Amino acid sequence: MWKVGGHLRVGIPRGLFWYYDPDAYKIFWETLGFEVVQSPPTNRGIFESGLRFAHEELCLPVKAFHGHIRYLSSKVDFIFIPRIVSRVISKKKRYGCPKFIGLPELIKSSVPDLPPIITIDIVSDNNLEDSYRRLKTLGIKPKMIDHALKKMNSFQKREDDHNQDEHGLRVGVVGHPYLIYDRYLSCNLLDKLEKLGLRYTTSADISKEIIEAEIKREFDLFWIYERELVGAASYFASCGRYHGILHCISFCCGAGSIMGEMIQRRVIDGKDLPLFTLVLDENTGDAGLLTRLEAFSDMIRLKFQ
Amino acid sequence: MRTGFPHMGNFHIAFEALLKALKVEVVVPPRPTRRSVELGVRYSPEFVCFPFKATLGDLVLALRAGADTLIWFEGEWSCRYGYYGRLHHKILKDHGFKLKSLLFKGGSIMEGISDVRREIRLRVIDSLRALRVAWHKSTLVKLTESLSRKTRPYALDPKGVTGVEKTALDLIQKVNANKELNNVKKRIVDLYASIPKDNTRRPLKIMMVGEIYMVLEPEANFHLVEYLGEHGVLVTPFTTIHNWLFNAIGSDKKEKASVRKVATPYLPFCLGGEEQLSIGYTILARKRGFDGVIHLRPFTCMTENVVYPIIEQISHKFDIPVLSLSLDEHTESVGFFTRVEAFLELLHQRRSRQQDDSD
Repeated sequence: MWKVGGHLRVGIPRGLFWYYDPDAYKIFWETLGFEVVQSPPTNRGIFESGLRFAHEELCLPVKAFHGHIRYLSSKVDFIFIPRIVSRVISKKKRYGCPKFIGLPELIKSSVPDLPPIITIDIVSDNNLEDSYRRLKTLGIKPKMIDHALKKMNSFQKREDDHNQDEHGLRVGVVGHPYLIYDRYLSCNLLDKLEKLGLRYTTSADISKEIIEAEIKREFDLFWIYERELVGAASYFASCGRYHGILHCISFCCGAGSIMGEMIQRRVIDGKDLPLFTLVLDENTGDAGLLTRLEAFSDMIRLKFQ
Repeated sequence: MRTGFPHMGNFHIAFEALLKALKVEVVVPPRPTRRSVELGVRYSPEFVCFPFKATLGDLVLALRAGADTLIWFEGEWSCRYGYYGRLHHKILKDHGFKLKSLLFKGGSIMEGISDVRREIRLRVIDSLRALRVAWHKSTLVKLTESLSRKTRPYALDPKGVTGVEKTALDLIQKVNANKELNNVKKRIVDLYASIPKDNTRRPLKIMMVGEIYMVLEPEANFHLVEYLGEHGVLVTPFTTIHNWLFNAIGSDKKEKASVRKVATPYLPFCLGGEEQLSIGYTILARKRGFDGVIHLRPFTCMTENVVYPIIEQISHKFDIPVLSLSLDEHTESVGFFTRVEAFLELLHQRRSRQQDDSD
């Protein structure tokens, strides 16, 4: 009874928001009865077309996002981009990165020949009126949206508990999931760590409760995603089971410049823990990155073994 | 307690008056220069926005001049500006400066004042009196700045106007009693009226939009307002220090709300900065009789960089020339002015073509 989509195909770009809830939006649209096309993981072709359309001062993942949109534009009837504006965390309103809030408009004005772009606004007061109105043009009733959202939210994120054993050297990787889990953009950073014999936990693996507890001890941040990063860094630094922190940011990441400084000056401050800040841009090469990671791993080994 | 704070345009005149009226000792750092910016860059994260670096330089100079307390407002919206105070003060402490950090919640002076009162235990009546002085002084500064902008393109000696402006600002800074402020106002108006002008000129009109610090701080934009005025352009920044300072009272609340409304179809949400205003004023520029728009943004600015591609579209759609420039400490004045000159040339040609068409 909920099916309305029929033969229409919706495109979901694999970038930015996708990495926070992989497949959640797919479930949303499939519940509504649409055929879902997701763009493949970032590859050279996608990235280079992104570079062609994106304005040069944007951060790496946003540039790649332009490429994903371009990839989808000829293959689907419309493209879905959720707009993450604000959420209530710890009783206060927290905001998304400005680039997330303006993402649909940014894309519309940068990439030519687009199919219609459909957005859902994720706002702290759960006001979906505008989104209802927009989806109505596709013949979707508010009731159906609520149903699909419920189904999407009940879908649990897969909890990663890889390499939980206590032995060996362990690194905490702090970075936005859309950067560190994107193999192309991060030059296979996580695989490289494994190959060097380092175990790792990423900031995305740390549970919300731990992060909020850590944030309380440190300081209140008003960005949704950066709370996760600073909270995780603080956890890595204080729990005593980690031998180093790798902070991975993209060049031109606005939040990254502030977070890097906060992690360095407030979280690590006074603790005897190696911190490696890795800034990625479109010119980062495989070999150079490997050399630096080897140096980092050697330093940890010399210190702790 | 000797307090220091960063600069933005002529903001210090009103703010110094406010603090002094609250019986707080004030150390005003020298106006920003390339040197103070360099100093800020030395202590700043690599790709933080330009205003962060420049204002950090001011704070270093304030501390060197003997300040022992730094005062600033912090806010909670999605722009990096909200973290400025916290991070500035922490960085300076890490570099061995001894300082007390006073951070007030709330983005504007009105919200901040109740926090200030708690900190230095003041009576309501005193803080109201202090606010009054600050309000009057900042209104006078606003008047002076707008008179300068309106006089320069008509003045026979446009460079002389800057000297008059300096005299006027000095007058405002020195005056103490509330009563004298009215006399000062009269004197300023007379000063500008006495400048010889040629009112037959028809100057180009340019709107300045973008990130607020880049628009309002002359050092950040190579004194663009002066430059344009001296080259016969009537330039209007989208806001003033006065409006920024007293935005809670809302002297231009209605105006701002209406401009934001114009921008909503192109950007439905506020990103935390001036982005909706940049879009709105660009759309309205042609209707309001402007020949062009100059859009200034700091390199890596989170909000204005989202806006930039949108403004480009608007420029085509509404047929208004836009020059968008990204500035930071590496920008050279020669390259900057070459581009501005070329833009002015384009506007002149456009205007003469339009005149030919209408003839």
